[in-house]
Amino acid sequence: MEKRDYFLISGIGICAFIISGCATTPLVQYGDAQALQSVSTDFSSSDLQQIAESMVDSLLVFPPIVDVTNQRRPVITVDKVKNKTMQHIDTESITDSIRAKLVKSGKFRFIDRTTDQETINEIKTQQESGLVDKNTAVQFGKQIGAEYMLSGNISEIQQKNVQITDVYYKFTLSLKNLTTGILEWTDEKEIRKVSKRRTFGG
Amino acid sequence: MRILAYFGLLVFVLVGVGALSGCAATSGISGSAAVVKGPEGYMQESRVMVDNDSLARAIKITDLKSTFAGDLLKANVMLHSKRTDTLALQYKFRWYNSQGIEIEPESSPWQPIIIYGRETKSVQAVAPNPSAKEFKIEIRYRE
Repeated sequence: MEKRDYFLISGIGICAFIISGCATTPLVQYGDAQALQSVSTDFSSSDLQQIAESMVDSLLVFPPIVDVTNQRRPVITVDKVKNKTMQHIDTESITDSIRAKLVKSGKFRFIDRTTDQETINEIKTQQESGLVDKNTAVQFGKQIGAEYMLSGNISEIQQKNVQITDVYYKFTLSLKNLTTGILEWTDEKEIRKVSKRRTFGG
Repeated sequence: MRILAYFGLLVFVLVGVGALSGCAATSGISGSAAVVKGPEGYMQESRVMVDNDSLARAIKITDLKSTFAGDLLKANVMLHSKRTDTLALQYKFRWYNSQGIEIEPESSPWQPIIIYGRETKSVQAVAPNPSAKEFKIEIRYRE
């Protein structure tokens, strides 16, 4: 064998070593749930987190709202966020994140209309089954009415050519005073995602 | 045989470069600020830590300030790009109470930011609850 042959063999050997080093990595791994994720221009977990973060920050420091929350913890109900995009987006998941952050701030209280039927069933059982002590049984008609309502929209503008897909998302959220009908607060979060097709290696 | 040897060397170098570039540094720079009670009343105390020299050559944290909106800590950070091209970075805020314990470590996501050449940009965030007295911003390259 010539000297060059040894060089070739050792070169191939090192290459094989490097490649096999990657093969030990399992195919399924845990990722960071808070990581910035940009797999495609579709609505992603990062977009949801950014929207929730931005909306909550804006609402919590809006001066007229700060004045109100300094005195009391207003009760809010969450209406639907209308999905006007072409994609399937679980908008309830966005409002759930916003609600969780607002509740944990200690500034607001929420009522949840999605569990009303279960609540009625439970109170009925407490009142009528005879199982529950009358003194501790929950009464009908004692719930607190919401003072404000959160509602919103999510829309999308998509532009495409052969190489570029550009998607613009706009999320709008408003806080409406249910007594007066006035929008006490509203804000928008814009997100732009651009995907470029590579000229080489498609 | 000679051509084969060169080819082997080329593949080796290419794979080596590929393997190395796959391990881009995830460390970045961070800045923290707190409102502390000094002998002359309350004052702002801030510091910047550099864990990535290449990023520190590209951007600078020029200002770290916090104010209170009601009783919630609001952070304002000014970033200045030292480069002439556009930088795509990500940042994350962390919040600490008066004992220095992090508040809801899992709650704030990494957020994207684009800074154009020589631009100064500010990023803001609001603490998750009134117990926050100190904040930290972490900045790193996008992976």
